[in-house]
Amino acid sequence: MKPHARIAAWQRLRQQPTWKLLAADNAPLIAALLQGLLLDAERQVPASLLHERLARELEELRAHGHAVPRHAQAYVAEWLASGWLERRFPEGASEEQYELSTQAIGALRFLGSLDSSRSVATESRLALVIQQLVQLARQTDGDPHSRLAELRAERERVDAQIAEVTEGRIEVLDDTRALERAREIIALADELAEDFRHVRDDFQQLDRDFRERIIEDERQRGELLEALFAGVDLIAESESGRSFDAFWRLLTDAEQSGQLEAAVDAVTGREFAGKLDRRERSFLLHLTHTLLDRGGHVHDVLQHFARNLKGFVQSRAYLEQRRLHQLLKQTEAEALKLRDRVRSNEGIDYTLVLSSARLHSLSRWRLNDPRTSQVDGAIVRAEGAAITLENVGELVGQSEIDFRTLKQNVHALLGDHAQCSIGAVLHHYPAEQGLGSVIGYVALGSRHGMRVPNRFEPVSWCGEDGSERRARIPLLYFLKEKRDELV
Amino acid sequence: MSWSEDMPSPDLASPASERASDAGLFPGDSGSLPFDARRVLCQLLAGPSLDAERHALLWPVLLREEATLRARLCELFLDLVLDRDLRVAFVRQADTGELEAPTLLRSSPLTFIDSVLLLSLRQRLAEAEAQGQRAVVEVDELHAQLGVYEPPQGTDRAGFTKKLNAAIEKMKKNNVLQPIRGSEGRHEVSPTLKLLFSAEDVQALGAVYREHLAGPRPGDEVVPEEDD
Repeated sequence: MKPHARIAAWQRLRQQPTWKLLAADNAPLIAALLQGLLLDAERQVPASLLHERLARELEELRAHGHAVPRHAQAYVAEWLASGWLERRFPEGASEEQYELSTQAIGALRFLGSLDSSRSVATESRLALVIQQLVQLARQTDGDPHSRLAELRAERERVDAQIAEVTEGRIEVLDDTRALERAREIIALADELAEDFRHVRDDFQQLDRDFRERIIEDERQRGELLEALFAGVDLIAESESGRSFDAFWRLLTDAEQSGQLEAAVDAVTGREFAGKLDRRERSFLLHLTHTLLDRGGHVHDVLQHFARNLKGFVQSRAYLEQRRLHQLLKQTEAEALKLRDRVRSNEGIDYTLVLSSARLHSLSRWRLNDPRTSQVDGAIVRAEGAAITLENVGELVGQSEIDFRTLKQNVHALLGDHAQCSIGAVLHHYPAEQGLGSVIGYVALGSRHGMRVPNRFEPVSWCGEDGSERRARIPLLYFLKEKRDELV
Repeated sequence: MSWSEDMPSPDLASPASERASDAGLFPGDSGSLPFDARRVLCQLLAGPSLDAERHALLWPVLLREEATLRARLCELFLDLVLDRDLRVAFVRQADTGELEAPTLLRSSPLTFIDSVLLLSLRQRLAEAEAQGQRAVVEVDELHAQLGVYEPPQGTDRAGFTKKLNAAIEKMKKNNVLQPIRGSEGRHEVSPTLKLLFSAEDVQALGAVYREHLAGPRPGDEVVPEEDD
């Protein structure tokens, strides 16, 4: 390819969501949020939940000093417009759902690969390629002679291996290489699961295309209908449809999936598998489940499309839709001509008949009893809020209390008194740190004083705003004999 | 004659129709439908629709008792519309021809702006259907789209916006538009609009427009609020 053609191609790609995400000013932030919200755990999240989670993340980012000035909704809207998010309204759902677009997933994967320390040219990858090539060569070989020769060679190899094992010589892959291979397989399977997204997107696009062609293109419609009526499932026969179908059959084949399960069990039971990290192990353990789950989703979508599309054509709904389309256009044009002659809130002789009944029986009248709406207007002065020792522990942990001054106060007071409660201390030394002082005394009292079980005392102090505050705190006494602890 | 009340009444004295009421659901119940079927009937009458998603328990009852329910509704001059593909059912006034039957259902006289909004929503529903999707509209989008119906010499932009908002509210009240939870300003166009406002109805509306175009009407009266 000549450079200028390549430049044009890259320029085109740069307008695509994948590149746009990578090139965004705050790409690290966006990518991290998208990955955390929609890739790592759940992949489809209802709108309200996404907004809520994002709002929480943003809050946390702000606390860490990141500049994220806008609301969660605004970010979601922007990401949607940039093509990184997709919004769907699935049948039966009460909320719209968000998920990452295929392009966004591509960008996140690319970023992940930059970070990964795994070298790409691994032995296992090469072995995989060789194995695949050999298999391809075999499967495309139509010559019975060379085929036989190959099978015999294979048998010889197997025989040799059997002989070795019989003699007790077993060669086991060393841990490092086993680990490397396991990771390779995980990466491959992960990509595979991701590919389903592409397949589903393809189906959706195909479905849309078919429908549009059926409604709009008079010439092609004949062929399409013929094919459909002949029972040919166009989507399933498409390239994506066929390859997915083959994949799906393999996955749901009892023998094959049994093999897969057994292999996963065996591998995760091996010693080297202990060195895989938690995520990798769990991915392997749930491999069949993940593949079935994501594949099953695509499978359902495919079935749904095929059925609906057939129904759409067979019910001749498209004819009705064409007619409706024309009627709507025509009627709208007429309405446009009327806009100068009829005021917009003027009635026209047209009534929309609704589907709910009007039942206004006299029996629905209820006498109004004024007592039911009466509110008790009396105001009772509330007791002070109770502060337990557990609360105090938490509050002390979270705040900076000047314990030195507090200790000095108690120390000084115990010079003249045999014992004093926190209320008495506050009487002599007003709470300079507000609630902090009170909590500080309670903390000191529970450490150095004596608690009277199940007894409380009311205390009050003056807040910064000048108004009085009250609380009920556990009754604690500071004792003269323990005065020295407070130095 | 209170002395006889404690006495077991002989079977001969109570005809079969009364005996059914012995098993009635409440004192004085002379109906014969099972409880569930009556709930379906109430839902249909209360409207605007009964759909399989929202009324998962009632939907199978409706399918099972369809014939009986149809009969009961006919006694009220109502016709049951049941769309098994859309999985929705509702009632509409039966076509009684010459017979002047009372109307039990509510109706909503439309203003000009209501009618163009309705057209636009119907259009959106048709497009969404063609793509096999649910129809979602955004309030801002509706304002942009319907701006063309503002008289060109009109200077009261705010007034027009207000009227359009009122029309949108009216559609919400009539369940033609349903707010989507979690997506502010976005609404789903109820799939039942397809049945409430069919191609024939669009045609009829077109005819009304043409009448208005043909002769200037002197009366400029504003439509009263809807009759509920």
